[in-house]
Amino acid sequence: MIPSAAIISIIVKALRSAGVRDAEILEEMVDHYLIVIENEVANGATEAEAIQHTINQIQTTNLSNLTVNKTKKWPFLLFTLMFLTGGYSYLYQPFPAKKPLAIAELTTKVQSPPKGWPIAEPKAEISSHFGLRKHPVTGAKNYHRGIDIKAPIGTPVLATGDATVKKVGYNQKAGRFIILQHDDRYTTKYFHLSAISISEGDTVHKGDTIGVSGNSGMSSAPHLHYEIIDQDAAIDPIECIGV
Amino acid sequence: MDSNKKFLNGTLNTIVLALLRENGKMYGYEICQLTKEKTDNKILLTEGAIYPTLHRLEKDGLIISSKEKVNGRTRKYYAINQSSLQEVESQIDLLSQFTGHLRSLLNLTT
Repeated sequence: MIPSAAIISIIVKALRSAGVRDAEILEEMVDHYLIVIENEVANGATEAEAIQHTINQIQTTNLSNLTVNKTKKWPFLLFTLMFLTGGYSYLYQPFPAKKPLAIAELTTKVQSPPKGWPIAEPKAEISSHFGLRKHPVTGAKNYHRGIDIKAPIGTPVLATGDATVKKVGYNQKAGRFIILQHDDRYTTKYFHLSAISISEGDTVHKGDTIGVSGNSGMSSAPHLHYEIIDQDAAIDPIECIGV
Repeated sequence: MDSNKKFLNGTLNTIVLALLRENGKMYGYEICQLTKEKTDNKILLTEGAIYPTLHRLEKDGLIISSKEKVNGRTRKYYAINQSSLQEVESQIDLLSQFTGHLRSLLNLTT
């Protein structure tokens, strides 16, 4: 049985691809299509068939009269509402428009943040946590977008989930860095490396060694800076690891 | 279906009002189903038609919506706004009369 949150996520994705943005309308339409799916299943269709049929229906029905954007505050309200009423915390996800929906892909891959530990030293100390902090080099108060994990130079750095390599490079702040793209929602970043063992466009799997830690860039001691980005927003990796 | 769609353009508002007046509180899917049943599967309202209509009628103050939790999710119900009942009745009457005129113009026996 496909979890209802996954089905909701699929419906929302299709509706958003069709241009429906208004949160209240999305909520109403989700209910509508869930009834359609429930009725089809009651009439003997498999869940996957019913979902596929519904997605086709969404894609072929003219929903242009539903796509008017009322105000921009609604998406936030929907999120709050869904979260409070149904716990559908990952319901509201910005989706790329017009991407063809492959049902098999959707039902098997409900996006969730990568869960792995990013360094080959399971008990490494976290020297700086996610969130507001005083910067160790500049001394300025800032928002730390990731976690710093203390590690001797040369410790293998591991992909925290299956991904493609989005970018590898060097800059003054991050030093040698890697950015992995896990799906169309989550990316992870690994900073201050001493060496990188993969190239842009490579496919990597959870646990693969992608480089070794170092002290490059703006860093006061050898460590790995690790970030998880949910679309554009950094989230606390500690809340994702091992979940 | 396409010709039905053409006719529905000007009448869907009133059809929805009539269904709500007769059945009390309904949600969008229910209205689609009832229309389908009543017309022997001949008039199929799409989501792209029914929901904008409901939203417009609500905006115009002719119907009101309320939300209820059903099976753990929120369902939006619509009902006639009782303080607009008179206007609702008159809209339904007008369409009903118009249908009569159409019948006579098309030489149909009523």
